[in-house]
Amino acid sequence: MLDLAKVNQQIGRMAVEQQLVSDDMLKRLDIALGQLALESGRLPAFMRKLQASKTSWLLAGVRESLEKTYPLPPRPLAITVVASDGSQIVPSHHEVIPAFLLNVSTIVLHYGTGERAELASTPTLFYRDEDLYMDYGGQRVQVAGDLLGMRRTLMEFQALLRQATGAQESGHRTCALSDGSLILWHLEGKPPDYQQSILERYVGCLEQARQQQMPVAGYISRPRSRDVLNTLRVGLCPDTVSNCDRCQYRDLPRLPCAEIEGLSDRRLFEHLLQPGERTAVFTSQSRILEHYGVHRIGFFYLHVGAEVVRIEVPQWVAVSPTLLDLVHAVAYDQAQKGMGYPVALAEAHQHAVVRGAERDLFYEMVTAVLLHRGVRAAISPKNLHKRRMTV
Amino acid sequence: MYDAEIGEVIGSSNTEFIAESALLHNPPPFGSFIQVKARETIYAVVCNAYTHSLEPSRLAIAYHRSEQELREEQPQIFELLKTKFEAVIIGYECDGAVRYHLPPQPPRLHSFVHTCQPLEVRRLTSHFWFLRFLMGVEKAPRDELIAAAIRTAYAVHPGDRSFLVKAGKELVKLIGDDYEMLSAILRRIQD
Repeated sequence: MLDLAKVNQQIGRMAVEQQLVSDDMLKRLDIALGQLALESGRLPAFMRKLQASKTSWLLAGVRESLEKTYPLPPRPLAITVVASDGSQIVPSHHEVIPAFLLNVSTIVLHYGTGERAELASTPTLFYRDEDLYMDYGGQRVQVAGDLLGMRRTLMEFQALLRQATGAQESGHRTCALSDGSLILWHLEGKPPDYQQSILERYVGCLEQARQQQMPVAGYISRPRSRDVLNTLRVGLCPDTVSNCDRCQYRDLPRLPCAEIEGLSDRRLFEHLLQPGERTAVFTSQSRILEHYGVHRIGFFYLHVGAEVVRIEVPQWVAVSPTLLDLVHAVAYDQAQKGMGYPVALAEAHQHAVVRGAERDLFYEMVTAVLLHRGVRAAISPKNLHKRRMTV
Repeated sequence: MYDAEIGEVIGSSNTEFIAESALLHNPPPFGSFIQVKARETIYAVVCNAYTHSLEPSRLAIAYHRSEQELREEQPQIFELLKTKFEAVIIGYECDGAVRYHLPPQPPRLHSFVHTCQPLEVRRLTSHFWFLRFLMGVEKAPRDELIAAAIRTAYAVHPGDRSFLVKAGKELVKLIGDDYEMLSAILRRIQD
């Protein structure tokens, strides 16, 4: 039970503090925008400094002026947009069986042709020992948490590419939209064999798309990334070449580069972009991308009207004006159709989501079938207690 | 073409049933005669139809676009809409004859619904006993429903004035001294 009266006082205090933070942020934003104009004016020197600097934060690879914006290109009349999403019933040892279920949706929307939309979801039940446990860095571990999340991400991506390449092959000009980042940074620091097995399959999907020249894009709503902002922190650093390990300003009450701390790329570009416009393409320096080969991920920010979003694309999309324009136009158009968020991704979510009642029904079905076959099935006393409370 | 299924029963009782239309926005006409082939063929008259969102939590909104534009630019919505229709049961087939009373069992869920062929409508409406079932309907204005059913029946008795006279006499018996109701129905049949 949540004591709302007690929380209420804390919410009040939070609001007051938030107000102070937000006033401070406006000042920081001014500084950041000033720096952005300054560095754009001396781009070659800025790029050299970025190249030479060593920072503790992720820096965007800058190739064009930070201020450069691109207008909305026209969307081809006939275009097919494919999206996918997934959700899971996580394994629980309190339940009748330790199985888990992944539900992956695929959405195929043909525009301009009047063809029927394809909205589907496919559940897969994992129950065998080899499904529930895996070899992870020489140890046998249960597939749960991050590992389950990664398996789901992979299944979603494979389903997305299967549908999208299928559509492209059947003569539809197609664009694949993935929910969230294309950068599997979760894999950083994971055992090499595990990392490799996931990446092989993920990058394999991207390669399929590249061979068909069918653009794939990651759509990130409300992005919190700071790759571009961090380059401005390098700009603010008084040294000619920044090296955070040998920072000589640590004794100061505030680091020179901390003037714009706490902001995000999104806040920055909200002030530079008009609805429909995008920024230049930046490259991500995320370490996991060293394994992406020709599929290294670049990104740009796009004002879709309701918000500024981050769009990630593989390098071969970024360097092709045709493919890049297609992603730009489709991402914007999708957000318009979905009243702020891409309609294909919203439908993908709707079709993938497993609701609480459905989860309960799933376990009821499992119990019924197991009992019917004479297999002993019982949920844990703890779980039983949570379902039936008495007074 | 009459044999193609026009819907599937998704809710059923002894007196009425609900069916999902096979075609979006194309339920059978109000007041038309339909049948469900189950253990015995059950006959009914369409008394209501509507189209709505598949999911209760998702409301339909206005897009201010023509249907053609919507099909080209918002194709997903047509996969998320369903047309349903409701019908009041007027009888069933037993030993080769039409019985104008309620069937012993309601139509089975997921049975297919078909349109009644003109010959079947002729057979069904050779008596006016079906009108009594329409009197009890609350889902639609009764005068509208009865008039629509009689118009449908008259279409398979073309030019047969005596059919209309018999229908009128039957209505007088059913409605009694509710002159308002009677004249409302007669006006609607004449149109």
